[in-house]
Amino acid sequence: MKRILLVDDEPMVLRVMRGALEREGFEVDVAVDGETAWMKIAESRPDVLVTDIEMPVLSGRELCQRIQEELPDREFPIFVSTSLTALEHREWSKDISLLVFLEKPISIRKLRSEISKIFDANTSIAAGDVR
Amino acid sequence: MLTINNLRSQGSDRLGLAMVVASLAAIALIVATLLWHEKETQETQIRTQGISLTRLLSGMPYAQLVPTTDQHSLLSTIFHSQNDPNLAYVAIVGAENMPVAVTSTPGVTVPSMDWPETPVGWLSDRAVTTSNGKDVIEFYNPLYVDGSIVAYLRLGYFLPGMAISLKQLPFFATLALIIFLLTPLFYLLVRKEVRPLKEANARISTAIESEQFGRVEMDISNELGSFIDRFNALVDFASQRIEHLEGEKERLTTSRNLITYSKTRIENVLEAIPEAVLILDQSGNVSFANYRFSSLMGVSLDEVMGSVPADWCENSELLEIISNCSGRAATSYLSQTVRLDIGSNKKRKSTVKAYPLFSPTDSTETLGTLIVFRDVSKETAMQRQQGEFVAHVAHELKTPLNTLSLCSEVLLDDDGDDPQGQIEAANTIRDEVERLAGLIDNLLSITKIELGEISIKRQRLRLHDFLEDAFQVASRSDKASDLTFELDLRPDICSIMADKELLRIAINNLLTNAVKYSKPGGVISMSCVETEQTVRIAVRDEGIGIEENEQDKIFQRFYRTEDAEVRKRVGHGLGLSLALDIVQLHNGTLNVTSKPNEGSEFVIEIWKEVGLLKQAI
Repeated sequence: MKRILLVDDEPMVLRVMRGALEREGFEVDVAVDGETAWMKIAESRPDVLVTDIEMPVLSGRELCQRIQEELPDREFPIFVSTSLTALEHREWSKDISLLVFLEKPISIRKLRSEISKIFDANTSIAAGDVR
Repeated sequence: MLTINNLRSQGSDRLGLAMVVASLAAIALIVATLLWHEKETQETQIRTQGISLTRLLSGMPYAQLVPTTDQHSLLSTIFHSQNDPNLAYVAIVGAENMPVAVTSTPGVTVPSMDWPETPVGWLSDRAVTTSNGKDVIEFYNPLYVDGSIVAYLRLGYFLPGMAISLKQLPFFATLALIIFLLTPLFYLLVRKEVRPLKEANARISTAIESEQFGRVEMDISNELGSFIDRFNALVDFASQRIEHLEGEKERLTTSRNLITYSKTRIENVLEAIPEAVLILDQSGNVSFANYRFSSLMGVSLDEVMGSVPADWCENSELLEIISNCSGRAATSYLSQTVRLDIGSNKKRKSTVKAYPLFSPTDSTETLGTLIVFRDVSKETAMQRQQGEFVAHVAHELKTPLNTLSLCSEVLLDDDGDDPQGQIEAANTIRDEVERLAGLIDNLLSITKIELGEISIKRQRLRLHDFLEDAFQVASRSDKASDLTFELDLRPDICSIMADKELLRIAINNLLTNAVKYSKPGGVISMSCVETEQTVRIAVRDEGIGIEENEQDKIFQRFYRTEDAEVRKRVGHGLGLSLALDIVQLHNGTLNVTSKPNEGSEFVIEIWKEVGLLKQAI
């Protein structure tokens, strides 16, 4: 079972996404800010990270940059949900590998298909685990 | 001080005196001339007589001239027979001044005479002075005996003087009398001729004294008359000229006043406009700068006027713009935005626009450059704030939309085996719709307040009923189920003049926050205290509280603290901002006292009556 770490400061979003993804067969862990998420990643690396950008304490952008610096050999993909669609707002992400932007409002289906795409491409991860 | 009349009488006296002096001088001159003429005549007579007598005597034999013992000297005879008072002496003098025969006027000795070294054969004369000091003209001629000079014949005549003789006295007296009689006559004639001239002079003097320039009216037909006519013509011409010049002067004064007025008006306009204005002349010197320019650049007007910008401006970018604006470059429209460093490192943003000042008569000629500096710091800040506001609104709208989208997917994908999930999704959708509606309501209210579209409709508000009602609504909300509500409200609390709908929004926002940020089992209380002129409505909770450094920020639009406890709760950061706007519309105050983990108290204080507020102001 793939473990997904959901990071968002909106409890409602966390609750709904968690329910939906759990029903999809994922193991879901949640964090309300970047700092908490980083601590959880340090404890145990997830298979997928889904994070919002605008969060207190440590923003999604800072979290991604810290992961890139501290864990250069990580294998899990990062999905960043954002409402800022302009390219200039995504400039910072070009040095970060395995990063996919998800435009708000987030679609569970879209997220699921994006995750499948990555895991299907990477044969080292059992594709059958992802629906 | 001498007056004109004094001068006039003095002039007349001087004329009379001068004429007397002149007549005396004339008499003296005439007498002297006559006497000189008389003397000349006598001298001529003496010469004629002397020469002829000398010649006559020289022609006589020497022996006859020289006296013998028995006869008188011929010379003596001639001397006495002449009976000439001017004849001084007759003498024959030998060699070495040896007198041979001498006859002379008593007291006169014949002066000695050296024979000429080269004897001359003809008559000659010389001037000598006798021993008694009288001037004598002497005629001499050599006397020959047998062809040899034996002696010289010498005749001396006294030179005539200039003395008036008695017989001439009547003549001179008569002459003097005639001249003296003619003098007053001449004086009177001169006076008669001079009188009109003096009168004209007096009138001109009077005109000068009284500073009234005008014609001199005199009925004179002679030369003076024509002079007066010409003078009057000159006066007329000068008067016309003066009149013309006076008119010109008046016209120029009016023009100058108009120009000064226009200049002042234009300068006043330039001072009144909100932009900083700088005007450069053709050579690039500052010909005008308004007070705003001085304040924008932080330099005094005295420093700026008449100088070149490089003297007081250190901003190279601005100098370059001014340099590009000046002269011919200004004929093309130019607008640039520069950031100016003003005074104490305050950064202000200004747009600089240059306009050429064309000559009113020749549109190809520029008389200078008008440079307008517009301070757009506030505008830029406002645009930035608006941009941030829109970004916040978009974010706040997208967040519930995101949740709604997720919930709708959950419901769509559900195949009926998870009724709990359906209920949860439906509840979430309801909460988020409420949240969206609240957000939109608050946004609309804030926008209306900011645009000034909300006019406060004051009405008498029974505070007891109003607050009780608002409190009941809050206490009945779903999230309030595990909280305790306490309302401390005296039934006889006063009424106030306020906008019921707006104040309800403010109170509701405070109560909603109190519920939202309370801990489970907490107490929410509301009280209303009446002071002499105001009422204080306090809403307290025992919730998570607010850090001290956050307390002044929570009223800012869209501000939400980064506290995780706060973030757990749904909010959009507009409630308190709107409550503050509403209270301020009522000229009231909204303050907070809070301690983290102990709770917060928000207090609204507003005036009971509008009249009391006016009195206080």
